[in-house]
Amino acid sequence: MNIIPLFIAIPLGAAFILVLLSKAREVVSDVLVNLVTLCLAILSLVLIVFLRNHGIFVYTMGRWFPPKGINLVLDGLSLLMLIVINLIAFFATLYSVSYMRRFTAKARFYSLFMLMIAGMNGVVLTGDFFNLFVFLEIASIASYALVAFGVEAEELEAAFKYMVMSSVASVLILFSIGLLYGLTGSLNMADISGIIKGRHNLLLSFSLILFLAGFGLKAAIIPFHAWLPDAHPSAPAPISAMLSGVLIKALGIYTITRIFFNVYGMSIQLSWVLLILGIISMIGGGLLAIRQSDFKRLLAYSSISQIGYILVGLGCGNYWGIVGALFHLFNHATFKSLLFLNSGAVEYSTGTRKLEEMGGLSKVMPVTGATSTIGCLSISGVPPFNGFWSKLFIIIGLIQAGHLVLTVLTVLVSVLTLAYYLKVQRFAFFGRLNEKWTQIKEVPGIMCISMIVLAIVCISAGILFYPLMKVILDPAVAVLQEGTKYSVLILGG
Amino acid sequence: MWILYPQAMVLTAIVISVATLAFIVAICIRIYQRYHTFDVTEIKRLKG
Repeated sequence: MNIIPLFIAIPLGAAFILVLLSKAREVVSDVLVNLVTLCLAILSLVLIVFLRNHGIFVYTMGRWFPPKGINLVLDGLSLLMLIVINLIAFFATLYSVSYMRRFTAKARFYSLFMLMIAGMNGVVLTGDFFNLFVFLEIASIASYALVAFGVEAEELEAAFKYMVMSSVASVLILFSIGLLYGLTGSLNMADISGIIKGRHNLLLSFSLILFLAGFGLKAAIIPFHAWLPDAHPSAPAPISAMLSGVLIKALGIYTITRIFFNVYGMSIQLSWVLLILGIISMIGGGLLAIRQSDFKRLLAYSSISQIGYILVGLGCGNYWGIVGALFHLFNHATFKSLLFLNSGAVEYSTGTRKLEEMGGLSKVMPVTGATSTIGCLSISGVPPFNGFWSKLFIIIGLIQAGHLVLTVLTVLVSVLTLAYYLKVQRFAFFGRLNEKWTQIKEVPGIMCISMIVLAIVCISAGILFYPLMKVILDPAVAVLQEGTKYSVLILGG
Repeated sequence: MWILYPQAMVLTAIVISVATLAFIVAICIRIYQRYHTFDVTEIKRLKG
């Protein structure tokens, strides 16, 4: 059963067909894109059963066997990322059907979107460093173009900034891959992991630092975050949802996790690096978010803060920390995409992103108001929504690892999160209705459906957290806890 | 046992860089149309 390459082949093929369809009627590309993303989402859910029955699956491309050839690896962690990417992509494309109507060249938008999906699926599936670099560039270049899609002054400026920073990151990553290749003579992750096991070498540490800086830039951890608050709000709403919800995780967090845990192997120093970067991002992102008056910009800063939570959880290194981090990754993808789609809906109806100009919008836009309340409560960690469980697991992990100061800080940042989301609710959706907005209507039905379903996912992931943990998260945690045994599992199997 | 030749990788990296460069130049042209300058200290509408 070789359905794993389809995750790259289907969106890549769809991207090229969509360019050809740019002269055809809009409905054709709408239907095609939604079919493709729905198909991918269903396939990724089917793979849960497949993984349970067969265990780790390695696909060798063109029967060139690793370590020389390129392999695609499906394990628990890749599967979790695949589910997150393709599920959110489906909701984003569904939302785009109405939202992107006021932009021209919708088919080209979809085409770039598909290239981004292909790149991200490739990054999470591949078992080869150079292949990872190529897919990373596909996803990144598509996302630069998507950020600039509106071609207004601000969007171009944001895209330029994003592009420069992200290109620097790509060069750092490429340099590091080159160093590793020079040291080991291999590009396969599992093979390299086996070769460098137990070796201590200055150049190896240097390549690790380059990886951290490169992928840290892609993930917008705080010393490397400057592009994110410009790039994410400037993109069209469904793209903001994809960038904040999925792209920074697939390109940044997933790769850092894979390289730190499975290739180099975790050590106490590395876990402190993750903990410190995580805590700085958490506090810094939160403090910067609370003073924002632009809806989408606030959400972008909040993404930095939540990425900090994920890193802190990974830095704990014990079961509860890692399961909390991965659960928070899943949850953040759902509620942050939901909130970005809400902000897009508000912008669609009112034409503004300034929080002070809004007010009382839940009276005229009941669906957007209700779903955004659910999103805000989830991200602030109010029980029984999903954000509560993931933050709770991270805090349990921190206590077990004995980091009491960090535990207190994590709880305080959680209160800060609640504060700025209450600000969003207070300014945008509650209170007295602004005179200007009495005539506006709720957004079209298809956008509502996408927001409602994401809100339902948030609630049900909160209530059904235990089955979710057992089915999706535990295999992913097992992959990380095996550490450098990864090499034996992939090559020796 | 044959070795993995690095030329293919270097060539791929160069091709990717050229694509990025082409795109960055395209964005620069668009920026010039909007701001009428290439001075990065004047392209600063995004803050906060």
